[in-house]
Amino acid sequence: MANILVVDDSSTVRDEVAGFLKRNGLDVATAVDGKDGLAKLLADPQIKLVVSDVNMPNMDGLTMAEKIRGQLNNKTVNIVMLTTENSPIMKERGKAAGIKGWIVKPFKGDAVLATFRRLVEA
Amino acid sequence: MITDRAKAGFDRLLVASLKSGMSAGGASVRVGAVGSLDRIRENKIVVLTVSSYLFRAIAILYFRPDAATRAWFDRNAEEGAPALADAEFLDRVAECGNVCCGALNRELGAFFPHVGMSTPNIIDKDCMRYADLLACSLTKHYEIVLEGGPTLFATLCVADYGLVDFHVDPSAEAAVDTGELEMF
Repeated sequence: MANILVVDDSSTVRDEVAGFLKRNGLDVATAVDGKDGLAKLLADPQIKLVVSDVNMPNMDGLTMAEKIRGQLNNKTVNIVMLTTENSPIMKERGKAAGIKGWIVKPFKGDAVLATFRRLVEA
Repeated sequence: MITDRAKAGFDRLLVASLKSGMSAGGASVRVGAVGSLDRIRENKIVVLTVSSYLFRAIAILYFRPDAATRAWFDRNAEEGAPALADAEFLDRVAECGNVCCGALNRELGAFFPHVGMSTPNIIDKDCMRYADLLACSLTKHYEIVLEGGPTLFATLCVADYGLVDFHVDPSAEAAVDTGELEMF
Protein backbone atom coordinates (compact mmCIF):
# COMPACT_ATOMS: atom_id res chain seq x y z
CA MET A 1 0.00 0.00 0.00
CA ALA A 2 1.31 3.46 -0.93
CA ASN A 3 -0.08 6.96 -0.87
CA ILE A 4 2.05 8.44 -3.67
CA LEU A 5 2.55 6.96 -7.13
CA VAL A 6 5.56 8.20 -9.14
CA VAL A 7 5.22 7.56 -12.89
CA ASP A 8 8.26 8.08 -15.13
CA ASP A 9 9.95 6.03 -17.84
CA SER A 10 13.36 7.10 -16.48
CA SER A 11 14.62 4.92 -13.63
CA THR A 12 16.84 7.85 -12.64
CA VAL A 13 13.83 10.07 -12.00
CA ARG A 14 11.81 7.28 -10.35
CA ASP A 15 14.68 6.50 -7.98
CA GLU A 16 15.40 10.16 -7.24
CA VAL A 17 11.80 11.21 -6.55
CA ALA A 18 10.68 8.03 -4.79
CA GLY A 19 13.88 7.93 -2.74
CA PHE A 20 13.45 11.50 -1.57
CA LEU A 21 9.80 11.00 -0.61
CA LYS A 22 10.53 7.72 1.21
CA ARG A 23 13.36 9.33 3.18
CA ASN A 24 10.79 11.89 4.27
CA GLY A 25 8.40 9.30 5.58
CA LEU A 26 5.98 8.93 2.68
CA ASP A 27 4.85 5.61 1.21
CA VAL A 28 5.68 5.51 -2.49
CA ALA A 29 5.01 3.17 -5.41
CA THR A 30 6.41 3.58 -8.91
CA ALA A 31 5.26 2.93 -12.47
CA VAL A 32 7.21 3.00 -15.74
CA ASP A 33 4.63 4.61 -18.04
CA GLY A 34 1.02 5.74 -18.19
CA LYS A 35 -0.36 2.23 -18.76
CA ASP A 36 1.53 0.89 -15.78
CA GLY A 37 0.42 3.92 -13.77
CA LEU A 38 -3.26 3.22 -14.48
CA ALA A 39 -2.84 -0.42 -13.43
CA LYS A 40 -1.00 0.49 -10.20
CA LEU A 41 -3.57 3.14 -9.31
CA LEU A 42 -6.44 0.75 -9.93
CA ALA A 43 -4.79 -1.87 -7.71
CA ASP A 44 -4.12 0.44 -4.76
CA PRO A 45 -7.00 2.55 -3.42
CA GLN A 46 -4.69 4.17 -0.83
CA ILE A 47 -2.92 6.27 -3.47
CA LYS A 48 -3.82 9.92 -2.94
CA LEU A 49 -1.25 11.62 -5.19
CA VAL A 50 0.12 10.74 -8.65
CA VAL A 51 3.35 12.49 -9.70
CA SER A 52 3.83 11.84 -13.41
CA ASP A 53 6.10 12.64 -16.34
CA VAL A 54 4.41 13.80 -19.57
CA ASN A 55 6.49 12.30 -22.40
CA MET A 56 6.62 8.52 -21.97
CA PRO A 57 6.35 5.52 -24.30
CA ASN A 58 3.17 3.38 -24.43
CA MET A 59 0.99 6.02 -22.75
CA ASP A 60 1.94 9.63 -21.98
CA GLY A 61 1.16 11.32 -18.69
CA LEU A 62 -1.61 13.59 -19.93
CA THR A 63 -3.47 10.69 -21.54
CA MET A 64 -3.09 8.79 -18.28
CA ALA A 65 -4.56 11.73 -16.35
CA GLU A 66 -7.53 11.84 -18.73
CA LYS A 67 -8.10 8.10 -18.30
CA ILE A 68 -7.87 8.36 -14.51
CA ARG A 69 -10.80 10.81 -14.55
CA GLY A 70 -12.68 9.09 -17.39
CA GLN A 71 -11.96 5.36 -17.68
CA LEU A 72 -11.25 4.80 -13.96
CA ASN A 73 -13.82 7.42 -12.91
CA ASN A 74 -11.43 8.50 -10.15
CA LYS A 75 -12.26 12.14 -9.45
CA THR A 76 -10.40 12.45 -6.16
CA VAL A 77 -6.77 11.44 -6.62
CA ASN A 78 -4.48 14.46 -6.94
CA ILE A 79 -2.31 14.54 -10.07
CA VAL A 80 0.86 16.61 -10.47
CA MET A 81 2.96 16.57 -13.65
CA LEU A 82 6.79 16.49 -13.33
CA THR A 83 8.21 17.18 -16.77
CA THR A 84 10.69 19.18 -18.86
CA GLU A 85 7.69 20.57 -20.78
CA ASN A 86 6.22 23.99 -20.05
CA SER A 87 3.88 24.41 -23.01
CA PRO A 88 0.69 26.39 -22.29
CA ILE A 89 -1.17 24.04 -24.65
CA MET A 90 -0.14 21.01 -22.58
CA LYS A 91 -0.98 22.78 -19.34
CA GLU A 92 -4.46 23.61 -20.60
CA ARG A 93 -4.96 19.96 -21.55
CA GLY A 94 -3.81 18.99 -18.08
CA LYS A 95 -6.13 21.47 -16.40
CA ALA A 96 -9.03 20.11 -18.45
CA ALA A 97 -8.15 16.66 -17.11
CA GLY A 98 -8.24 18.00 -13.57
CA ILE A 99 -4.55 17.91 -12.73
CA LYS A 100 -3.56 19.83 -9.61
CA GLY A 101 -0.14 21.18 -10.49
CA TRP A 102 2.91 21.30 -12.75
CA ILE A 103 6.63 21.04 -11.97
CA VAL A 104 9.36 21.69 -14.52
CA LYS A 105 12.27 19.24 -14.12
CA PRO A 106 14.73 18.87 -12.53
CA PHE A 107 12.97 17.78 -9.32
CA LYS A 108 13.79 19.81 -6.20
CA GLY A 109 12.24 17.89 -3.35
CA ASP A 110 12.54 20.53 -0.65
CA ALA A 111 10.52 22.95 -2.80
CA VAL A 112 7.49 20.64 -3.01
CA LEU A 113 7.55 18.37 0.05
CA ALA A 114 5.12 20.38 2.18
CA THR A 115 2.60 20.62 -0.65
CA PHE A 116 2.90 16.92 -1.44
CA ARG A 117 2.19 16.12 2.23
CA ARG A 118 -0.88 18.35 2.12
CA LEU A 119 -2.14 16.70 -1.06
CA VAL A 120 -1.70 13.24 0.48
CA GLU A 121 -3.49 14.22 3.67
CA ALA A 122 -6.32 16.07 1.90
CA MET B 1 16.21 28.69 -44.82
CA ILE B 2 17.48 29.63 -41.39
CA THR B 3 18.38 33.29 -40.99
CA ASP B 4 21.69 34.26 -39.44
CA ARG B 5 20.02 35.63 -36.34
CA ALA B 6 18.01 32.42 -35.95
CA LYS B 7 21.25 30.42 -36.22
CA ALA B 8 22.72 32.62 -33.49
CA GLY B 9 19.53 32.06 -31.49
CA PHE B 10 19.75 28.27 -31.75
CA ASP B 11 23.40 28.52 -30.67
CA ARG B 12 22.65 30.72 -27.64
CA LEU B 13 19.72 28.59 -26.53
CA LEU B 14 21.66 25.33 -26.82
CA VAL B 15 24.65 26.68 -24.88
CA ALA B 16 22.34 27.99 -22.14
CA SER B 17 20.46 24.66 -22.07
CA LEU B 18 23.68 22.65 -21.76
CA LYS B 19 24.92 24.90 -18.95
CA SER B 20 21.67 24.71 -16.99
CA GLY B 21 21.08 21.01 -17.62
CA MET B 22 24.60 19.82 -16.93
CA SER B 23 25.04 21.94 -13.82
CA ALA B 24 22.18 20.30 -11.93
CA GLY B 25 23.67 19.55 -8.53
CA GLY B 26 25.82 22.66 -8.53
CA ALA B 27 28.76 21.68 -10.77
CA SER B 28 30.42 24.44 -12.76
CA VAL B 29 30.06 23.96 -16.52
CA ARG B 30 31.94 25.62 -19.39
CA VAL B 31 30.60 25.25 -22.94
CA GLY B 32 32.61 26.24 -26.00
CA ALA B 33 32.43 25.63 -29.75
CA VAL B 34 34.63 23.05 -31.48
CA GLY B 35 35.27 23.01 -35.20
CA SER B 36 34.60 19.43 -36.22
CA LEU B 37 33.72 15.93 -35.10
CA ASP B 38 37.37 14.87 -35.46
CA ARG B 39 38.15 15.87 -31.85
CA ILE B 40 35.25 13.86 -30.50
CA ARG B 41 36.44 10.41 -29.44
CA GLU B 42 33.36 9.44 -27.44
CA ASN B 43 31.68 6.33 -28.85
CA LYS B 44 28.09 6.67 -27.63
CA ILE B 45 25.50 9.39 -28.18
CA VAL B 46 22.18 10.45 -26.70
CA VAL B 47 19.88 11.81 -29.40
CA LEU B 48 16.82 13.99 -28.86
CA THR B 49 14.79 16.08 -31.28
CA VAL B 50 12.72 19.23 -31.03
CA SER B 51 10.40 19.39 -34.02
CA SER B 52 7.94 21.73 -35.66
CA TYR B 53 6.50 22.05 -39.15
CA LEU B 54 9.25 24.60 -39.87
CA PHE B 55 12.31 22.75 -38.59
CA ARG B 56 13.71 19.73 -36.83
CA ALA B 57 16.46 20.40 -34.29
CA ILE B 58 18.55 17.39 -33.30
CA ALA B 59 20.55 17.63 -30.09
CA ILE B 60 23.30 15.07 -29.64
CA LEU B 61 25.28 14.48 -26.45
CA TYR B 62 28.46 12.39 -26.85
CA PHE B 63 29.79 10.33 -23.97
CA ARG B 64 32.10 7.43 -23.20
CA PRO B 65 31.00 4.77 -20.70
CA ASP B 66 34.37 4.92 -18.88
CA ALA B 67 35.15 5.15 -15.16
CA ALA B 68 35.42 8.96 -15.07
CA THR B 69 32.08 9.47 -16.79
CA ARG B 70 30.37 6.83 -14.64
CA ALA B 71 31.78 8.46 -11.51
CA TRP B 72 30.52 11.89 -12.54
CA PHE B 73 27.00 10.65 -13.21
CA ASP B 74 27.08 8.80 -9.87
CA ARG B 75 28.55 11.72 -7.92
CA ASN B 76 25.55 12.18 -5.66
CA ALA B 77 25.40 8.53 -4.56
CA GLU B 78 25.35 7.81 -0.84
CA GLU B 79 28.56 6.47 0.67
CA GLY B 80 28.74 2.69 0.40
CA ALA B 81 26.12 2.52 -2.35
CA PRO B 82 26.84 -0.09 -5.04
CA ALA B 83 28.32 1.10 -8.34
CA LEU B 84 25.89 1.98 -11.11
CA ALA B 85 24.75 -0.92 -13.24
CA ASP B 86 25.06 -0.37 -17.02
CA ALA B 87 21.34 0.26 -17.45
CA GLU B 88 21.28 2.77 -14.58
CA PHE B 89 24.28 4.63 -15.98
CA LEU B 90 22.77 4.86 -19.46
CA ASP B 91 19.46 6.04 -17.99
CA ARG B 92 21.25 8.81 -16.07
CA VAL B 93 23.00 10.03 -19.21
CA ALA B 94 19.73 9.86 -21.13
CA GLU B 95 17.90 11.82 -18.42
CA CYS B 96 20.68 14.42 -18.41
CA GLY B 97 20.18 14.80 -22.17
CA ASN B 98 16.43 14.98 -21.57
CA VAL B 99 16.80 17.84 -19.08
CA CYS B 100 19.18 19.76 -21.40
CA CYS B 101 16.98 19.30 -24.47
CA GLY B 102 13.90 20.03 -22.36
CA ALA B 103 15.33 23.47 -21.59
CA LEU B 104 15.99 24.02 -25.31
CA ASN B 105 12.44 22.89 -26.11
CA ARG B 106 10.92 25.31 -23.56
CA GLU B 107 12.93 28.27 -24.88
CA LEU B 108 12.10 27.45 -28.52
CA GLY B 109 8.47 27.14 -27.45
CA ALA B 110 8.45 30.87 -26.73
CA PHE B 111 8.98 31.49 -30.48
CA PHE B 112 7.30 28.38 -31.91
CA PRO B 113 4.41 27.35 -29.63
CA HIS B 114 3.77 24.14 -31.58
CA VAL B 115 7.17 22.48 -30.98
CA GLY B 116 7.31 18.97 -29.56
CA MET B 117 10.19 16.99 -28.10
CA SER B 118 11.16 13.33 -28.40
CA THR B 119 12.22 11.00 -25.64
CA PRO B 120 16.00 10.29 -25.51
CA ASN B 121 17.62 7.47 -27.49
CA ILE B 122 21.13 6.11 -26.98
CA ILE B 123 22.93 4.88 -30.08
CA ASP B 124 26.51 4.41 -31.34
CA LYS B 125 28.41 7.49 -32.48
CA ASP B 126 29.07 5.71 -35.79
CA CYS B 127 25.52 6.66 -36.75
CA MET B 128 26.70 10.26 -37.05
CA ARG B 129 28.29 9.38 -40.41
CA TYR B 130 24.73 9.44 -41.79
CA ALA B 131 23.95 12.90 -40.39
CA ASP B 132 24.72 14.49 -43.78
CA LEU B 133 21.63 12.75 -45.18
CA LEU B 134 19.53 15.08 -43.04
CA ALA B 135 20.74 18.04 -45.15
CA CYS B 136 20.88 20.30 -42.13
CA SER B 137 21.26 24.04 -42.65
CA LEU B 138 22.91 24.43 -39.28
CA THR B 139 25.41 22.05 -37.69
CA LYS B 140 27.52 23.11 -34.72
CA HIS B 141 29.67 21.15 -32.29
CA TYR B 142 30.37 21.97 -28.64
CA GLU B 143 32.77 20.98 -25.90
CA ILE B 144 31.31 20.70 -22.38
CA VAL B 145 33.88 20.95 -19.60
CA LEU B 146 32.49 19.71 -16.30
CA GLU B 147 34.23 20.88 -13.14
CA GLY B 148 35.90 17.88 -11.52
CA GLY B 149 34.55 15.55 -14.19
CA PRO B 150 34.95 14.42 -17.78
CA THR B 151 34.76 16.60 -20.86
CA LEU B 152 31.72 15.76 -22.95
CA PHE B 153 30.72 16.96 -26.39
CA ALA B 154 27.48 17.95 -28.08
CA THR B 155 26.22 18.68 -31.58
CA LEU B 156 23.21 20.68 -32.69
CA CYS B 157 21.85 19.98 -36.19
CA VAL B 158 18.86 21.88 -37.54
CA ALA B 159 17.06 20.94 -40.76
CA ASP B 160 14.57 23.52 -42.03
CA TYR B 161 11.35 23.08 -44.03
CA GLY B 162 10.65 26.79 -44.50
CA LEU B 163 11.82 30.18 -43.33
CA VAL B 164 13.06 29.96 -39.74
CA ASP B 165 13.60 33.36 -38.17
CA PHE B 166 13.65 34.43 -34.54
CA HIS B 167 15.75 36.61 -32.31
CA VAL B 168 17.06 35.69 -28.88
CA ASP B 169 17.89 38.62 -26.64
CA PRO B 170 21.41 37.78 -25.39
CA SER B 171 20.69 39.50 -22.07
CA ALA B 172 17.43 37.64 -21.41
CA GLU B 173 17.34 35.08 -18.60
CA ALA B 174 15.60 31.72 -18.95
CA ALA B 175 11.89 32.27 -18.39
CA VAL B 176 11.15 29.21 -16.25
CA ASP B 177 11.95 28.48 -12.61
CA THR B 178 12.67 24.77 -12.55
CA GLY B 179 11.63 22.60 -9.64
CA GLU B 180 8.85 24.92 -8.42
CA LEU B 181 5.31 23.57 -8.13
CA GLU B 182 2.79 25.62 -10.07
CA MET B 183 -0.64 24.91 -8.58
CA PHE B 184 -3.80 25.04 -10.68
